[in-house]
Formats: sequence, C-alpha cells, structure tokens
Amino acid sequence: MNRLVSALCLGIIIGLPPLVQAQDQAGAYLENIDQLLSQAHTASQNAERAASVQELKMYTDTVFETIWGTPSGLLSNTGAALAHGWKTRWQTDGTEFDEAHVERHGSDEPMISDPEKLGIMGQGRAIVKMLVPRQEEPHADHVLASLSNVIGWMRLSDGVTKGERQPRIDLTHVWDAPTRFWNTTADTGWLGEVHAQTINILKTEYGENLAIAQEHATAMTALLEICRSGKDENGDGAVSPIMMEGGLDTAIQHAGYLGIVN
Amino acid sequence: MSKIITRITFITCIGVLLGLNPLGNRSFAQVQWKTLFDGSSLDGWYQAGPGQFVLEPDGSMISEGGMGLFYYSEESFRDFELELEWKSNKTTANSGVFVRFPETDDPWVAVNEGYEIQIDDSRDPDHKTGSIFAISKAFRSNPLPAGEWNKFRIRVTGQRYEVWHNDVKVNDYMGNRGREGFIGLQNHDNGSRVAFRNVKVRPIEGDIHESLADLLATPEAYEPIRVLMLTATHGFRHGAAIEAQKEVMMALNQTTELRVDTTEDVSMLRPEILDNYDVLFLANSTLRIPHPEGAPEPEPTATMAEGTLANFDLKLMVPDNEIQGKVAISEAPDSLIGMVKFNIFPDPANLFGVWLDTDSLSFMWDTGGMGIATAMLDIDGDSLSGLMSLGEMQVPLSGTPSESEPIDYAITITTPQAPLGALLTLGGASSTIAFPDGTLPVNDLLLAGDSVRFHFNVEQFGDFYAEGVIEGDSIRGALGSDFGELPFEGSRQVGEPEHEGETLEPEQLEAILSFLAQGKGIAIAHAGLDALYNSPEYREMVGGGLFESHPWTQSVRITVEDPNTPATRHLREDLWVHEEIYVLDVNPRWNARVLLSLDTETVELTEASAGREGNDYPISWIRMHNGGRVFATGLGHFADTWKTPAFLEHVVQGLRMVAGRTEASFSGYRVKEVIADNVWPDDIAVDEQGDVWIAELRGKVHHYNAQSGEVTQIAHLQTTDPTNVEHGLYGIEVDPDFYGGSPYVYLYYAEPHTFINTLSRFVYENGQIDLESEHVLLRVPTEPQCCHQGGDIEWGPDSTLYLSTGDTGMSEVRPGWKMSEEQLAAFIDKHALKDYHWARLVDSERSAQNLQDLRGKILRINRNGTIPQDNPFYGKPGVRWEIYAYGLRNPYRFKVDQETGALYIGVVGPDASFDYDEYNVSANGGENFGWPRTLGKLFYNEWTPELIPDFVPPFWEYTYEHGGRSATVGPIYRSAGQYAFGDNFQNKIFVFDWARRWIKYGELVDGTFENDQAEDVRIDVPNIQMPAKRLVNIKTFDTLQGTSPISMELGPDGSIYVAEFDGFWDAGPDAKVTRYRWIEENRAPIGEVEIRTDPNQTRLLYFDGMGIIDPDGDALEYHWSFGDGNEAKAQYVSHAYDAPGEYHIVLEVTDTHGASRVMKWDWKIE
Repeated sequence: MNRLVSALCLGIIIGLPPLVQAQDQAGAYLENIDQLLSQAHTASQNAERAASVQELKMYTDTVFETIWGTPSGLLSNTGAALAHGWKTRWQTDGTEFDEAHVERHGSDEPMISDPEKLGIMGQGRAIVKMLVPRQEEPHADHVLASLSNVIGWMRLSDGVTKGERQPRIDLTHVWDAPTRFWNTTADTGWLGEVHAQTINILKTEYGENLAIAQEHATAMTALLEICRSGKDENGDGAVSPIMMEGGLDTAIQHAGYLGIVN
Repeated sequence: MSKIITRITFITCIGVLLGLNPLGNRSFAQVQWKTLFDGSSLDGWYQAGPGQFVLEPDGSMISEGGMGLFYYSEESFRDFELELEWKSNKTTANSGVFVRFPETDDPWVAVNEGYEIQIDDSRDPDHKTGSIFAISKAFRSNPLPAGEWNKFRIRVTGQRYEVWHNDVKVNDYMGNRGREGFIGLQNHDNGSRVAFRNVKVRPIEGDIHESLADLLATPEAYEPIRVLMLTATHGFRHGAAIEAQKEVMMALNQTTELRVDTTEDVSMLRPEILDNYDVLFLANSTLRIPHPEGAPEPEPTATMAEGTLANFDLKLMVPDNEIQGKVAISEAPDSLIGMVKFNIFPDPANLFGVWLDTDSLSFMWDTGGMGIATAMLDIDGDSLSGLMSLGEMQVPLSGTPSESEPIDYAITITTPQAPLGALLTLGGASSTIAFPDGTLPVNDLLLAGDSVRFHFNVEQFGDFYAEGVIEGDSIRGALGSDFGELPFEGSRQVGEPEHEGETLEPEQLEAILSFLAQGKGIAIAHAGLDALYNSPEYREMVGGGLFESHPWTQSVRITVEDPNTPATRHLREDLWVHEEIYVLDVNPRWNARVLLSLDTETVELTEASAGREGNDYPISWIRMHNGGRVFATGLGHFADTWKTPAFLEHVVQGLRMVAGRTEASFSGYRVKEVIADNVWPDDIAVDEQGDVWIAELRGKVHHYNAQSGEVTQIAHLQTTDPTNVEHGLYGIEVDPDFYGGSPYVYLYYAEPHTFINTLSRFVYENGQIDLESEHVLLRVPTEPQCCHQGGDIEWGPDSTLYLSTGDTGMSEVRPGWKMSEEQLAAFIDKHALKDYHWARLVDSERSAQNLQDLRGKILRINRNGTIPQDNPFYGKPGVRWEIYAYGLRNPYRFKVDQETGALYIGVVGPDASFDYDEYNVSANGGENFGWPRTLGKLFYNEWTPELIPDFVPPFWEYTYEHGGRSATVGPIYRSAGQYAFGDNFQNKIFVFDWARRWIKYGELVDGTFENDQAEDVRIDVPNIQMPAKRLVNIKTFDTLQGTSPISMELGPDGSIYVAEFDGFWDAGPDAKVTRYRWIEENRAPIGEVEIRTDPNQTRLLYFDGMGIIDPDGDALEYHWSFGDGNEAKAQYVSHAYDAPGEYHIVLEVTDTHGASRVMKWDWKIE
C-alpha cells in the first residue's frame, strides 16, 4: 500500500507518463494480491483446525473477503452471499455504455471504484488491464497468463447488440485455445474455485458435524495452494508461466523480470 | 330418385337357433402336423399347367417357368393351419400359396375358385405379399429381403382366412368360396424363382365360422336394435365399400340383434321414418348426390396462382438455406394487389405498395412480428432478381414464372380383373398419376384443344401411353400397353373435399338432430365425415372436424387409446388396417372421447421440424350431442376393410354403444376459459387451492382467487427495465406450505442497476406481498446485455427449490466479431470444419460450462437458501454446490416431476438457421447438457460426446427450419382431479414454444440419440449414436392465435393453466391467463314420461319411459312402483290395477354411475 501511494505521488511529482505509472500500480497490486493470498491461506488453515463450525465459517468468511474485498454476509444469516454489482465487479465508469443504454439502466458510478478495495479479483483485473498494452513482451505475457489462470481469462470488451454498444465480458480473445483448456478450471480462474468453496461452506448447514466442515476447509486450502503454485498441466515436471500452468508465484516472478515488482 | 329400402324381416336370431358359441369363449381342437413336403421328395405333388418345381439339394423345391400350379394332390383339406417357408430370388419375384381349390389341370381354377396368398413384394396392395390375391389387401407388410427365408402361417377355418407373415398377422378376411380343397404353390414365370420348404399342415376342429355374421353372432336374443343405414353418396370412390357394408350388415341382421334397413335415399330423413329406428348409420354417406343437371357451377375458389398479372415462384437466398415462396399480383380497380407466401410462414400475407412495369416489380408486406418487408426486383425476361429488405437485413431474392395450377381428374381404368381408381393430376412438368399404393410421374404431357396425350411407366409392367379427350369436366380415353388397351374415364376434381352438390334440405338435417335429441344414436363411417360442410350443426355433431384430405392410403397402425369400451375391447393394443386415412379440418379430440387414433410413425410423420402442422389424427371417437350418442370412425374406405372381423366388430359394437345397449361413457369435452385478462403474464404459479399467482416482466404481481374469480395486483417490485435485455421479474412460486403457516411468495428478478439476479422470499399478508419482508436466498451476478436469463422457479417433491439460469451470453457472440477471416480460415482448416458459422462459441464457457458460476444451470437450494446435502456436486471441491445440472443456454422454463424427481428442461437455442432448440431431462442431477459445445444434434468445432464431461443428449430437438423457436417445458401431467384429462394424457410431458405458439404433449421412452448427419460442422461427419430418452407420440394440445404460451402449470384439480404472452417489451391487448379443463361430470337422466290410458280398459295404464335420456349416453335402468305393491323394471311397461283408487306412482331412472331421476304421480283409477 505504501509502495502504491509512493508510486502515485512520485508519478504525479515527476510527471511520469501514464503507462509507467500504470506499471508501478500493477506491481503494487500484485504485491497486495500476494499478501491477500497468504492471508487467505492462513485463514483457510485456521478453518481446518477450527474448534467449531461457527469458528470454521468465520475463517472461511475471511477467505471470502480476500477474494472480493467484502465479507459474505452469511455468518449471521442463511441465504445469499453478497455480491458486487456489475459495474463494481468490472470497474466500469458508465462511459462505456451507449447513451440509450445508460438511460435505461442507470448511469451510477461503481459502488466501489478503488481496485484495492476489491480484493484479489479486483486488483487482478486492474493488473490485467494495465499489462495488456505490453502483452507482446514475453514477460508481460507470462504475467498475464499466470494471473489469468488465477482470476480467469475473461476480458472486458465492446459488444454491440440491438444497435447499442454495451461493455461485455468474454473469452473470445482465447477462442483458439485447445479443448483441454476449456475442460480445466484455468479458463475461468482457479480463484473462482476458492470463491465457490467459501460459499459452499458458508451455505451448508453442518449442524454439529465439524469433521465434514473441516474436510471442506482442507479442500479450500488445496485450491488456494493451486492459485499460489499453479499446476504442471502438461506433465513436463515444471510449472511454466503459460496458460493452464502458472500461478501467482510465476506471475510475481515474471513481474520481477518485467521490472514492476522488486 | 327412387326409394330403395331393403328390409330384412328375419325376426328370430338364427345364431341363437343354431346354438353358436359366444365370441371369446371358443374351444377348438388341433391334431398333429402332417408334412406335405419334407425336402426329400416331391411325392404326392402334381403339376398343373406350364413349368415345374424342382427339388433342390438344400431340401427345398424351387419354381421354374409358368404360369403353373404345383399342388399336393393326395388329400384335400377343409379347416386347417398351414405353415411353410419360402424365399424369392428378387423383390419382384411372383408366386403364391393356393388354398381350397378343386382338383384341376388348369392353374387358373386355383386363382378363381380357391384363394391365393400372394408372394410378390413389388406389387400394389391388392397383389402384394400377404394379400389374398386381388381380394383382400394385407394390412401389414413384413417381408425379409430377397434371398432370405420367409415364413407363412395360413389359418383357414370356416370362411375365415388369416395370414401371418414372419409371425406378424397381415391378413384376416372372411371369404365365401369353397369350404374344402387342395393346397398348392404357384410357379409364375421364368424370372421368378421362388423356393419353398418345410410345408406342413394340421387340421383344425372347432373355432369354425362360416361368415362374418356367424363370427359376430350374438349368443342370446337381445332386444332388437333398429338401424337405418344411409349410403347416399355423390362420389365414385366408395361404391365397392358400400356394397360390402350392405352385404355384411344385412347378414348381421340374421345373427345379431341388429335390424338394419339400408337406403340411399336422403328423403328418408324425416321424423316419421326415423321414429322407427334406434340408430341412424351414415355409412360412407356424403349426404349429397351428384350435382343436378343445370344447377349453377360453383364459383371457382380464388388461389394465389390465379393472379391475373403475374405469378412467380420465389427463392430467398439466406445463408445455408433457401426459402421458397410464391407471389401473385392482380389488378384491382384503383391499384395493384396481391399475396405472398413463404414456406417458413404458415399464412400468406397481403401485399401493399405494389409497383409493376415492364422491367421492375416491387411490393411490401407485413411479416407479422418481424416488421415490414420490401422486395425490389428487376424483371429480365421471365425471371426476377433483386433484394428483400427486412429491417437492416437484406437478402437476395429471385423469381421464376409459376406453373399454372394443376387440375385433378379422378379416373377409373378398366383392367381385365377389376376397375382401378387413380388420380390424374395434369399440371405441366409436375403432372402425376396416383394409384392407391403410389404416385408416378406423367411424362410428355401434351394438351392441345380438347385432346390430351401423356405416358407413364410402371416398373413391373412397362410403359402406358394415354390418349384421351377432355370435355368440360370429363376426361376419357385409353391406355396403350403390353397388356392391350385399357379404357379410362373420369371427371375433374374441384379440390378436396367436393363441397358442392349438397342436397340435404334443412328439415332433413333437423330430422337428424331431432333424432339425436330423443336420446338415440348416430353412427358415422368414413365418408360420412365428408359431408355437409355448410352445416355447422352437422359439423358440431360429428365432433367439429370434417374431411380435409387423405394423404395416406396404406397400411397403418391404429392405436387403441381407450381399450375399455365395447368397441375396442377386442382390439387390445392396436389394429392394423390398409386404409385411406382421413385428415379432418378440426381435430375432434377436444369434443369427444377418442377410441382409436393413427400411429403417425406408420405414416412416417415425425415431429423433427416441430412445426404447426397436424400430428394428431383420431380415427374413431364417441361423443354426446343434443342428448344423443354419436360414434364416428374414419375407417371404411375399402370393401375388404368391411370384411375384416376386427373392424366389423368395432362397428357393430359402436352401433350397440350408440343405441345405449352397452355400457360406455360418452361424455367429456375440453373447455378453455380466460381467468385473467388484465395482466401481462410472464410466469405463473398455481397453489394447492387453485389460486394463480401471476408475475409480469416489469415487476407487477397479481393474484387470481379461484373461489371468487377476482384478480388483484398484490405487488409492484422494482426491477430492471427489460427493454432489449430480457431482464426484469422472471419467475414466481408460492410456498408448498403456503396455507399451512408459510405464506411465502418467491420471486426471481434482476436488481435494478446492479444486474444481479436475485431469488428472494417475501411474506404475503393482508392481500399484499410485503416487499419489506424480502429475504434473499440466492444471488446470481449477471451482465447488462441481452439475453438468456432463464429464470424459472419450481418446487421439488421434497420442497427444495429449483431455479433455472441462462448463460447470459449473446447468440451473436462468435469469433467473427474479433477474428480476421484469415484466422477463421486457419481454424476451419485445422479442424476440418465446413463453415465458420459454428467456429468457437466460447463465450458461454465462462457461464454454462463454468461450475464456479451459477449461470447456464439448474440450481437447487433449500427453502432457507442453504445447500441441500444431497445435491449432485455436494462435497466436490471448488464447484458451486447449488448446481444441479449445467451446460444450458437459456432454460427459460423447466418442470420437476413430482413423482420421480426428474427435471424436464426446455432450452432456447441460437437463431441461426441450422442451430437447434432442445429439451433435456435431468434424471439424477449432475448432467451436462453441453452448451456451448453442443446443442440439439450439432457438436460444434471439434467437440464430441466423450470430450464433454457428464454429457447427456437431449430428448427432443428441432431446427429453425420452420422459423423462430423457443422450446419450453410444461407440466408432467399426472392428475385424477375433477377436471383431469383422460388416461391418454397421464404421465405425458407438455412442451410449448413461445415463438411458434403451439402447446404439445408427448411420451418419453428409451431410445437412441443421433447427431445431425446432414448439417454437421465437420467435413467428415462423425456418426454419433447414444442411448437416450426420446420424446415420441408428440401431439398438439393447442395452437394459440395472436398470443404465445410463456408459462404453463398444472392445477390441483387437473386443470392446465397457460400464461399467454402478447406484446414484446410491454403488454399487448391479448395478454391473459387461460385455463383448460376436461369436463366429464356425470349428469342425471333427463326428459319426461308418458302415461297413457286404455280407452277400453280404464284400469290399464301404459308407462312409456322413451322420453327419458341420459345426457352422457349412459345406459339406464327403470324402476317403476305402481303404488299398489307392484313394481316393474323396463323402459316401457303396462300395468292393470285391480281396484279403483288413488295410487302413488314412482319411477326412478338410474344411469350406470348411479345418478338418477325420480318422478312421482298421484293417479286416480276409476
């Protein structure tokens, strides 16, 4: 956080071009993500060792919060997990909408506009947006690939329907990926599995059956470790910074090569 | 016209006198088989006529030359069962098995005096394998390929000839020739080499019937049923059938309680005549006679092809498809007018803005839902070319001159054996001649003045050259052939049916209706449904539908829908017939109780296209009308049908039923009523009291109170504007324990601005939904783009809550948006694809195939929002455990089978022409229905079933061939409620289509799913076949007019509720909620009794209960109490009192269901 503020201030003071500012922001976000993932992992391990279902769910809620920056709301209530609205999730400011579309659906700013308040996912998406202009560079591409394995390969792009331009999320930019890719969870991001597992645990009525809940927490920890370490999908004995393999560690490693993190 | 009445005066029942055994209680004895040919010798066999049979090394004998007769001359047989095997060298090989012919050296004696069971798979039905040659068509065909051994079982008892071909019964005929004779085989010609083996016979004793009348004889003396059989007809087609029905009905006079008079004189339709009968039998009677000479010709019906200025066949060139149509331009006083019709639209459209000059043609029309279309065309010689514009879409359009309208002539060809009917259609290059078993092209048609010449070819018999003359509406001439000259003659058929020539006077029709009103019966067979088109009363009487066409004249399976009536009990599951099948212009199903219906599979009618065309063809039905009973059957076109025991028994029992002599329930009809017309329904829910909860897309919620009939708005939820994005209030349900302490209403809707679809529970109190009571059970984050939100909510049998969610993708999302043509071409080349259309629909991988996302799924939660621990993915790490099934595009409507727990899901597919909509079944949960990797019968890109985890193929699917589509699911029908539809609907699945406006129902069976071989994405099409549930026997329940079904529910009393959508983003004027019910209440007898005194005996009274009828057609029992301690049980009784006095007389008339009418009189006897 301090690094981010410093970078922003320095950029403003010395008048660095926006792209350079963005790279520093990306590095700062990546370090935040690193910390958040560690926090999540610790919380998940605590959940595995929890003395009660209630305590287990409390730790699980912490994991949930690291993902999107907000608690689930399920500790005191059955029902639905809280979710950000569409603009908040994708950090649009409304200008991407056609005027007619805005008129019909509202032009409110996102409820939360600071990616830092949007957990791993929000900051990860911000990083992707910042690095896409450099994706022709091998290390930038490796950061993008590794990070996308964690948060999903979806991108925000323009779509046009009914004669109106509307921002939309799609996977079209990786349309030529092999069949194997679509049958993994890397396409939509390993962190999505963690998110799913937190909601599963929070929405399950375990009663006094702590052991089952702990099993589910153990599975959550394993999913978090994949986000961290990636997978050797092609079986060559190494985790490479490529589609379906690299995790946050390889993203940070290649961000270092790229010079956006220390 | 002279009056023709044949009165059969036999009063006593010969059957009774002869002591014949009753039906169904026969005993017979069989003795041991006797081998006529064992493969080792031809001893005992005798050759009559040319050719021979030769012993073969394999133990068979084979025919050579001909035509000859090879028969077992050692012994003649009387009643027997014959079994043998045969095989032919080719499909066209001709042979046969002769039975019961006298000793002879002339093979034609066997043909003319015995019966030949024909062998020849290539011939017409009268002469095809299994037929009794030229006499009785086989009603089924069951041959094995040429070269394989077939099996014949021929049972000859009395005059009954039954044939089984490869263990399937194919013929059952009552003959009238010799009772005893020899058994022989035919060697027909040099080219036909037919081998026989294992020929054996065993005599049969007992089970002998000498005629149909004998077979159907009643075992005891019943009260006579007086039948007037009217056969007045104008047509040429049914003469033989009418003669056959006269013959059999007159014979039945002698062995049953039927007392049939026959007439062709419609002037008999007078009350004073009809009073003498119990049943009026309109047997092949069109109730009209040939058009009187000098009568004015009917006005020709205007058709599109009769436009005076221009007629063109059109072709719309759309990608991967070609849409055909016609346009006709005519001149009106002030402008040009016309019509256009394309095959993808059910109805023609009127043109406006028509401009026609020497080199251009333009016109516009309203497509009815898609906007105004404009055609701008250049005329180059005879051809048109240009563009059709519809919105922003422009499609190339071409045209060529239409051929003139074809003219049909019904002709009769005189052949040496028997007249042969045919339909000659003269229409330029498309001319045809249609025989009962097939249609042949007519070649080189030359029409010059009044002369006509053409020729056609029959594969087995060569060329036939016709020369003839057309005079007015008549045609006559001769066919030249290798068989000599065959004269033909006929007359022009002005459409079907021939409505003109109706000569029934109003008072005659009134006599029919009055006859019914007396509680009497009317039976109708075949052409009786081709009658009185201008009479709404007659139409209503027969069930609503009259003859429209007869597209199938062939062997068909008739399904027995109600096996528990006297007219069907003997048929068990089905009846096979070779018949002309009537298609009626209105389906009688909804006004009658259907006994028999056509198995459409036997006419190769499938629901692959899921269009609006007919698919439900009742064959026989009963109904009440005007207090009388009606029995109708569409069968009876052919003479031999009337001599088939199964059909004749069906008719005889039908006559008994309408006479009220046998127990049968005639009541039942469907009603449709509007229960709410001030609403714009999107989804509805029906609770246990029959109240209906109605959700509107823009957030309004209404409540229909079943007791009061009132509709009240109970909430207006704030939701997203649905315009263009299909967001809003999607679904509604009420708690299963709503009246037991859980007064909750569940709504699934889009939160404004956030585009989070939210399933919430609200409290209903004080006649309103308390919006402040919202408890959010599930949030499904989505996006502000059209479309595919799904949004149906349904309860499981265990009170868990299911929700359908769409993939929120866009059908237009394809790589073409982002990818260059070069990239696409490389991809197509890499994967050997045909067309970029299918290349990569990856966008929905992030939702429908993403098990961390709730979209494109069926979800299942507990009532409080928690996760049921028996969900299919419960415990699997990283998968949302609310997911029940996945891989769905837009599951707009689904249903949960409350008995089995299975889910039935309708999925709306992409708009592209060869893409599909589909229906899925989730039997256990965890299924992946494949989107966006597959849909319907297509597997996109390189996907195959084995690459798709948990894949389950659809149980029904259809393409865009018939235009827009939106497959949605209605109830699984199970109800014994007050308004429940009958057995034929139980356990059936309802499906409906918003775009096509139909509601259908069908039956789910184990079958095989096959991929689309014609339109697969790949160049090398894979052959994918998988075991799968499949929907079969799909019938139309209704097709809405002006509205579209959008939600459908089953009520607790068996009623079916339909939300009818009108408008698009806002309410249209016809939006409403409707209810279908089957009304089958048992009504008590009605009518009056006549009590007459005898002028000569003042203490003698006559009590006549004829005036009492049962509105449902039930049989009645009469119980008279005369007030002096005496009683009687009959419809008509007399009673003599012993002494003067005042007597309290009581009559109780009771129907078979216990409903009664009690009448009382105080009568003074002097």
